[in-house]
Amino acid sequence: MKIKNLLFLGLLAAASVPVYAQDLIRKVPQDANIVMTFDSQKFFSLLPASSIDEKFTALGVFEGLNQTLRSPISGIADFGINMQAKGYFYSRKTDSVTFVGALIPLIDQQKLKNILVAGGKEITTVNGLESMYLDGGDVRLSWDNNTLYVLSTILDENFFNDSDNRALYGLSERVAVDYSASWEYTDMAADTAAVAVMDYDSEAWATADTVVAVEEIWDEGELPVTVEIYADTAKIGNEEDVIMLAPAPPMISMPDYDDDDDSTYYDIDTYDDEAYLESMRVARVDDSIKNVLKLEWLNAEMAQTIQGTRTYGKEFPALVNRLKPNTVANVYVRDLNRLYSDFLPVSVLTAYYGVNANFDLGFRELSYDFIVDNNVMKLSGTLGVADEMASHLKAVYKSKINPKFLNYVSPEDLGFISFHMNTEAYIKYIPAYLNQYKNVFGEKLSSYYEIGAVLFDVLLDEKAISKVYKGDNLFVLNGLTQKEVTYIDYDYDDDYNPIETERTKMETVPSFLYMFGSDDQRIFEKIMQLGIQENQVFQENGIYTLSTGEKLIPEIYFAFEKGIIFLGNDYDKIASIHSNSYKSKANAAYTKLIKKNNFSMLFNINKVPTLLNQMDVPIPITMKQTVETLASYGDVSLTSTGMKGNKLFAELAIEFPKENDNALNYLFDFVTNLIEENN
Amino acid sequence: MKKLQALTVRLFSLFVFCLLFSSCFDVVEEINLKNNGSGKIKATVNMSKSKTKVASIMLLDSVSGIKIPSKASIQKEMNTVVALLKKTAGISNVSSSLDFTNYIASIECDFSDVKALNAFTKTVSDHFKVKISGYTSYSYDAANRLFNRGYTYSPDIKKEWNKLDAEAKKSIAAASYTGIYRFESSVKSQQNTQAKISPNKQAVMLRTTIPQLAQGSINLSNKIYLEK
Repeated sequence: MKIKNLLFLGLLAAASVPVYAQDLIRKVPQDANIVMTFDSQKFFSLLPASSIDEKFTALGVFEGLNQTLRSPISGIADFGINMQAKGYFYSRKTDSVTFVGALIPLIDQQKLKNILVAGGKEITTVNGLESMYLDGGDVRLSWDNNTLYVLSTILDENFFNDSDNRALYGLSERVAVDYSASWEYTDMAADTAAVAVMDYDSEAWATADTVVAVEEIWDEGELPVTVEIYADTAKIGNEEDVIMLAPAPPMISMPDYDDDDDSTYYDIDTYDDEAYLESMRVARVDDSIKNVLKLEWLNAEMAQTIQGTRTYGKEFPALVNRLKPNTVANVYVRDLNRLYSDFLPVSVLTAYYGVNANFDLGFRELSYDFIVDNNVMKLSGTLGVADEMASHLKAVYKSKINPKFLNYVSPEDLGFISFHMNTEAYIKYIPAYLNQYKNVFGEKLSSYYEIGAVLFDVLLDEKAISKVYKGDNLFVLNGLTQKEVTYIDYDYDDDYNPIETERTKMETVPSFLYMFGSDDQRIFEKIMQLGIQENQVFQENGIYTLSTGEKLIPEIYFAFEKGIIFLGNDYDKIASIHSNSYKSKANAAYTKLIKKNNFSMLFNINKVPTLLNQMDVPIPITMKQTVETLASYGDVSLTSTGMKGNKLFAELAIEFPKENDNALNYLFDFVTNLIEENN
Repeated sequence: MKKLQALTVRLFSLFVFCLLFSSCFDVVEEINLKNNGSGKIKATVNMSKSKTKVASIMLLDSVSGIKIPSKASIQKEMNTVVALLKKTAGISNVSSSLDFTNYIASIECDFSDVKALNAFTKTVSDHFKVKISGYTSYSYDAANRLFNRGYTYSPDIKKEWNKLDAEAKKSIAAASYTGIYRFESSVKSQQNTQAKISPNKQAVMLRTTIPQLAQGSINLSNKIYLEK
């Protein structure tokens, strides 16, 4: 798919989200693990649909879509989407299936319908709503006057590998078969989990296509109007979670398997091993059963969403109401730890390695806002953590940066990174942190693991270490400095024989300064003494010089001052710090940023072009314009205020050029121009 | 073979890149000629003045679509050139050195006859797919003690030079070429007004800048007459 088409789909998704916000959010299931809110009203107020239409027309996006969808589309409005409302995307996972859904507000369903019809897909009525199935029944679209409901299903194969579950749904039993004795060729090794038929009447199944059979049942009305189907088998018996199947929709046709397209299948016509043919046939029957299940679950889930009979997540409306005014989108993950677990092949790890991967990392809900604040774009997030972890982290982050550090950040600097924590609390937290993973090693080994964690706790003197390294750090990229470098040149004797001569010249290199707090500097001094002994370090006037052997940073200078250790590659700066003659004007904004946050990183992008020019750094012709554009950018910063309550806060902010109305507008222009140039 | 070609392209790319982006580099060509027409040639490229920048470039995988070769691939390429020269008729005692601390590369060999020098340049130019041999040549008339350094300004060089923008041209303004020819006998006279005869009268040196060479404002041709 072309980039411009992806861009279009992204914007369409964006468009699908705000007036019915309160209504639609109440259709998001209570147990949705991921919910994304998109504020179309905000989005299109920042980036008008007319601007998008104009650019997309110029890029030929609509032209491409018209060919694909076979429908004349000249603007985003042609999709009938309500651009004044919020839309929602969500994901809900059970033990057997993951549902991914979207609730998209509509303003003119007829427009949407026209496009869908033009695509040639059949429209049927399901649950009283016009509907359409896509991707062989994996995705269903249904719509009414105000809403487009989208739902797709992804089956969990691990669930269907379980023998009890296979028996429950009438799937064949899986057994491992050793092919090596009877099969000569080795290509089949990849397909080791062969399907063997146990107590299975192949004759009966072989004569009927399962899909057809089910279709016939539905057509004949043999399936009850409502039936108990548990998409989440763990909840069997729980009345609230019974899915009451709505009247069955007309069966859609399932795609036939194409042996040529699937590398796991072999050409049956040319292969005559009966056991293999039988296993392939059984696999097809299993797939057919799973396809029917998938469709049933999809319809049942969609029916509940449309009818609003599923308990909705009561916290979601509150979450939407809490969004800041400039938030264009929000992503909410109910439980990050569970999300990790969902992606980990837990059962496989347990079965094959005896590892209990169900460990708790201590992460809870994650919420990220995409904010456009004039020409600043922000990603602002919070991560909830477990109570125990929170108490540890609060202690770790309870620290202040040495105020003397602030004297060494000036407005001329290119950027800085500051980080401060309580080293003593951090070391105390490590055993507890390690214990989170003890179950990974199994029950027996976990005891040894715990002993290791306790030993760590006992052997280390946290207080002593926290004196050596207090935990406050500041790294400043100052800009450029002149550095004397040596090079080889030639002189010539009377016979014009070249004689290698070492000369020096001044070069412009980036200079940095790093400082960290230390009340006990003995260990660092001893290291320097060792360096002197090994001829790697020399000391003069209280300043240690370490030769790195690197061309870019040939020497690093150290100065041990009261409570602070300084190091950098600008000798004059280190020397002036050591002699208390260093003068710098502090930057109020930087000072505030550093003091306010436990972690802060800031980079002055607009100084990059001048810097590269002064350093005589080669810039590819293709990159020249991009580099020059950087001069009109502002700061890029990444900050974290540490813990507030049980939540960790972090924010990434990028200050875009002010030439456009806002950051979103600028970014859209930037991306579309890039596509235009590449076309 | 394809791999070899790829390596060649990469080494040549690095050379082109260094020409473009190393503000200072020196190319030194030295020939020691005996009266019987045999001798030694040594070619050196010294990028020491730009070593910080070259070191920075070497950290990158590619710049402007030009692949930057690794130290290992440069060494391998140099070994290939040495092997090719060893097979060249009239060439012997081939040796090379690569100094990645100061970024100085050199290659030298003995030749049995000045004609072998032309084979030397042809081998190198064929290998790197550049037309050095078409524009530079050497000959020696032992009877008349005349050493002739032939040079024709290449329109290809001018074409490539004109492709460079002002900034790139400025960056190689200080890059230099030095040609040194030493003899057993004293130099009686030489015809290139830009060249100098050494104080001991046994060598001739011509120094110029790469931009002068590229623009054709200097001619490397020379006829050097030796005392009989």
